[in-house]
Amino acid sequence: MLASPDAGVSFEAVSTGYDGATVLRDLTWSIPRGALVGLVGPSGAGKTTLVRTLTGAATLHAGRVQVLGQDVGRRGSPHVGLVPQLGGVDWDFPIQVRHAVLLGIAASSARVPWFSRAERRRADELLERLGLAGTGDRHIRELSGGQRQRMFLARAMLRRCEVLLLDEPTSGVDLATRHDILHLIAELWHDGMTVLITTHDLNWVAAQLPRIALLDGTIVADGPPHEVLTEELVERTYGARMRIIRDGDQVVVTDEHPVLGPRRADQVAEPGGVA
Amino acid sequence: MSLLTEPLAYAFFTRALLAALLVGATCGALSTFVVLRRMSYIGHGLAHSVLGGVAVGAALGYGIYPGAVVATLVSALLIDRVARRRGLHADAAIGVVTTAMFAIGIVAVSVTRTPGVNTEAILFGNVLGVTATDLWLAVGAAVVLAAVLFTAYKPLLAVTFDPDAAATSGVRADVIEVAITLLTAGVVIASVRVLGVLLVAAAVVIPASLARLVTDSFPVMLITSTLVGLASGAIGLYASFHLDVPSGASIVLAASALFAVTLVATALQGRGEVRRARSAGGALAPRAPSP
Repeated sequence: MLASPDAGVSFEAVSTGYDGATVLRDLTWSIPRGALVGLVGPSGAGKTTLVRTLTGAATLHAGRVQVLGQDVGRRGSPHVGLVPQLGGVDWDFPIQVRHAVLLGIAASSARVPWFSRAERRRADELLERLGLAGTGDRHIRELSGGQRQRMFLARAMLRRCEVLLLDEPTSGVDLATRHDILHLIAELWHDGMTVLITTHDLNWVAAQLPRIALLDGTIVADGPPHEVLTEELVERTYGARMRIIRDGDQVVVTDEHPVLGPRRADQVAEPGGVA
Repeated sequence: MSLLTEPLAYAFFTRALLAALLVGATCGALSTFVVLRRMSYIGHGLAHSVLGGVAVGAALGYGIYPGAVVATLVSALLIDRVARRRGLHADAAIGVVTTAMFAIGIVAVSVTRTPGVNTEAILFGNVLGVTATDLWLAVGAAVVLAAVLFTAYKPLLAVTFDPDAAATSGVRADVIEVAITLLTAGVVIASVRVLGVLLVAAAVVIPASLARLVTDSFPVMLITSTLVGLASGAIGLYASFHLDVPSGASIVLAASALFAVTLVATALQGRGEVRRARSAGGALAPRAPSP
């Protein structure tokens, strides 16, 4: 089966993982070019592995992965840019912001130990566009959570990627930063970029993104949030019964039986009444 | 002054000094990658594995270097393969592979009692034993490392900072990782005569550890590590000559002393900055007591 010419990303009967372990099995899925998709699933479902398959970091055991019609091999894809999980980065590494951004073109830049003036200027322009003007000479640990996300966005954009992968961008950042990141993503998406976001946050995805995919070793469902987030599909993905609250196209996923809420209310209502 | 010039009258010392400078500089430069990739243990392990190759190679009549090369390369590649297995970290892989190679060396030395294999010199380094071959090997290691650093600086830095992102940027992270391990193996082999099997590990850790204390910039760290390696090699070799102690031990002690001085100096500097901030009434000023 050949990928559709409109497919931004396509997986055909893909099994992938690491030496000695298969994480994703027989996965067939495609993301249209220019789509904005949220990928959700329980811990261990393979969200990061799917991202690492697109970057060439995970071992492809079987099947075929294509980005913009080109096979993804061990070198990843020239069209893909990655914004990694902030928790996995060594923020004490001795590197300045501009240099970290320039590493986005480490493979394509001239084989000398320095970056050209034009490359440095373009990195500074991207930092400025992303609201990080003047931070180029600062150490990376001096950036806030939102600024760190934007620094990695600049790194991805420096290599003019057309498919952007964001691995858990909402993890460990405050509400304002989430809002900030979403605006940037929306801007890139409106410019025609294909965006795939992995996250644990079902309700954020449901409220903000036009399309959602449920993953649990393979794709369980894929479509608009109001179609995909049903009790049956969520239970099949997470192995737990959840309550789905609908208000028009808005969907909220919550625990079927709140465990602590009512009891805490009782305790507050009865002074000294500790069970 | 004669302390510096007198030893230069001896051809063996001049040869050893050149070798120590080259070995110090290459170990220093390489230590930047070893320390930042948190693979300090690999230098230790690869050096230990050399003993097995040296002993077996000498017993078979091939001299020390062919055996050392085979043992170190086999160890490096085995470590790489074992560490890729899920659930096993690099430190465990290094521990298993290289201690096994070291044990093979001990067994080979005990069983064969090969003439021409000076076990003490291999373990601790020997300034008198540096031959023209050793010097050329050190030159070769330095040239190869310098060439790789110049042409692959950006991919090396990208993989050291973030292997996954480097792969996404088109860098062959797996190839670069193997290259770093092979370079470490080559530098360890070239350093064994001067530093000794048991002490070469320190030479690929201490210079970068010192440099990290004084800078937040990768290129400055790389240059500082190289200079610290050079200085340790020179100071240590003179100390070895004048105090009649094994060269490996004196070079490592010189590097350790530089590290200790830097550690104390940076700690005092940090305290001074806190004190100045407090006296200026900044954020670090002690709180006024509550009324």
